Amino acid sequence: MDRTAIRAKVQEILRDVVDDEDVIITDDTVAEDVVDWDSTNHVRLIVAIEEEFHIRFETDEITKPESVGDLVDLIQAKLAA
Amino acid sequence: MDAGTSAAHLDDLIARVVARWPDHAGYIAKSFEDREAAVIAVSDELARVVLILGGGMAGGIEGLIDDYRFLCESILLPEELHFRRYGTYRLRAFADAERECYANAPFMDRYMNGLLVSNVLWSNHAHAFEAYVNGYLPRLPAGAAHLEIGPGHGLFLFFAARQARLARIEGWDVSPTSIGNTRSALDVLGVERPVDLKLVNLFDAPPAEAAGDFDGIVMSEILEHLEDPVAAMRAASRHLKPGGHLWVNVPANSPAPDHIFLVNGPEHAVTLVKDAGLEVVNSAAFPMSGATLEKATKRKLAISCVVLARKPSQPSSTN
Repeated sequence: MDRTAIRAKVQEILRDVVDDEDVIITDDTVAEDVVDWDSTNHVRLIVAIEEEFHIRFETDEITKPESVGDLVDLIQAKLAA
Repeated sequence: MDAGTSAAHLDDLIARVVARWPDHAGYIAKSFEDREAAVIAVSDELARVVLILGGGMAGGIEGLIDDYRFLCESILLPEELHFRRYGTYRLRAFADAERECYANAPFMDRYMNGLLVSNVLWSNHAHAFEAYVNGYLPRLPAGAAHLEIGPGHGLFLFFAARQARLARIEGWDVSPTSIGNTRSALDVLGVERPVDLKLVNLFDAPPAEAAGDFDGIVMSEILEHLEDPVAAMRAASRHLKPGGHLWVNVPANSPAPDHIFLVNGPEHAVTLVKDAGLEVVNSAAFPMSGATLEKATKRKLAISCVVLARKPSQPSSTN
């Protein structure tokens, strides 16, 4: 799956997690840019991503991505592993 | 806080936290969005107390703030992850919590220090504390005997000790370390009136009077640590006088390394209290910082559930 497709899916999941259909993300988006993307919702996002992509994050990977681009890279790496 | 409000201690604590942990500023701002004046007033007093306690610790206020950050980022995150993946708390047995947490003194010190700060900074904790100060304590009659089970950091007992009309104040715990910590906190805070801290196992303690001898009992953030919270409340109610009040504060959907009983919402908390044979006087639910109750319920986010109950004058037929 390419990065664009992964990011689109992450956006769809994030919209569901924060209850906001208007959220638009880019590779440069960080949590502070999205209302309600707090620490608890970040964990909800991670678990929803795990279910969607059938991957598993290590605990120390959860807070590692500093931007959406980092998160997409991490997902892509896990899909390729 | 806004200029013009009298919350100097709160401003001081928040400024120190943000200076130490700048990324937490956004969370704090959200946490204070919905606090009315009465809650701010109690939070300000709590901040004063936390600053005094932190100032007396080996690492000072900065060390206390580091422990708070450790709580948020390192202690709770793995538990939150488990809860979101499986819908359960990671542990179910008291013995496991004892082995992983209570027997680990350095860990418990940092954990308890973090929770101390959370009483000010987490919206649900701050609101529940205000309910205790302005909702429970004023209900106790002059000359009342008050008991807190599991007084921990000692903040609740500190506020009780300031009620001159209470005749007797006790705190019970099964841990000598906890009793020592509570005593130390009350000493640092300059509490001079007698507060009798006892090593007591609630389940083993016979009431001093057959009908119970306390006008009020508090169990704050205790039930989620127990395998059978209903049995604990039944045991506590034996120590209440008929018509005496039990004030319960229990978090729902709040994963932590020593939480073993999952309360799934405010209604569940009320049901547990009723199952213990108590009459519910009122209840309140305080969602985590930044969430409405509706949103917290829908997303299964943490909610502090506060229930004020009364021991029936006549034993319940179901009890």
